[in-house]
Amino acid sequence: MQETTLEEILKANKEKIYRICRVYAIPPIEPKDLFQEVAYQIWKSLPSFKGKSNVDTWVYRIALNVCMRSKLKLERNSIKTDRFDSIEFKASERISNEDDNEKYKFLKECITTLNESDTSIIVLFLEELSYKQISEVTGLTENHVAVKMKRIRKRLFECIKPKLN
Amino acid sequence: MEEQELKDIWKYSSTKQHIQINTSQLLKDFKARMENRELIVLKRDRREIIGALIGALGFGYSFYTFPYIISRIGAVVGLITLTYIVIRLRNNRKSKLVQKLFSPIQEQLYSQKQFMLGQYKLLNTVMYWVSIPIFIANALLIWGISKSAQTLTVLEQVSTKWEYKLMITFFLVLLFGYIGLMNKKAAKVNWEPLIKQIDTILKNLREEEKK
Repeated sequence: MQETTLEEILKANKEKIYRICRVYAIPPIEPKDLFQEVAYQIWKSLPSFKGKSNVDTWVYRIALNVCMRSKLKLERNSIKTDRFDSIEFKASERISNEDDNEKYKFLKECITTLNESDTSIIVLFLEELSYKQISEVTGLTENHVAVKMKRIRKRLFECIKPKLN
Repeated sequence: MEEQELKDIWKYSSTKQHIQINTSQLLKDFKARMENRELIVLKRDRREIIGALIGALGFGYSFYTFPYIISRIGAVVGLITLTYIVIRLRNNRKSKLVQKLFSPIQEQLYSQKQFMLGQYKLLNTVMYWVSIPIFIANALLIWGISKSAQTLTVLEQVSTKWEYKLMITFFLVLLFGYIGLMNKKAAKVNWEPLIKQIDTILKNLREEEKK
């Protein structure tokens, strides 16, 4: 039962988890270390999941909480120790587009200029979550998210536009 | 530039890696990791209990063999303090186990901060709940020893001289003072910056709330 649920959750969410981990991973911790830790915490938290919140919201909360904790250097050693062979990261066969790589690099650079709380909000926004969903993940009110997003969006655009042009 | 373009760039980042998960093996890995982490906690608990037991044996032995009332009071103070230390450390550890990572970010940060404040307070006050009581227990134990009708061991004979008592007391002041100060320093170096960091994140999160 737990195996099926975990498999389903990871299958449906692995890409989004990985995207978030890429932004938060700071050497020596790699995105795959964070991904592994998020997956582990999902597994550990599964018995407490009562379906009160949406699975997506639940996964985003765990992913962001784990990633933010890693930045706080709380459990860095335990995160980077053992790497599992059961999760494999293979380079995609899709031909890598230099232009897209560059654009992503700029976007990541601009996101890292934001503070921790703004980063978590913009990440959720880029994941195409509504303000309501963002408020459920962060614990802020919807109005508060809207006000914050207005400012964060402005800052992000100010940063990335000159780079892309 | 459109928002959608940014979202597309963002989504692109996960297309470069193909993630393959072997779920049955992953579950075995998770269980092994959990057991490994539990083993670390178990070993730490064992060290703590063994340390307390050795101390308790020393104080217990002193209580049983020393005929001096003040020394016996010292032994009792030592035993009570050791019991209190073990209980306090265990209670504090329990709060760490409550890590609801599926809580909203703000709530999680707040509980993280509470945990850190607990750890900070624990280390910062070691002087008062470890160093001073254990020092008092040992000082009473030593200063209580006096010449009596009973045959004294070599150690007891030496301990009856006040200059030796003073020397040992001075050594104890240095030892327990050092322990207390080192823990105070650990609280400042390890926990204070983290608490400030969390405070900043929480402050940033709440910013613009009333606008």
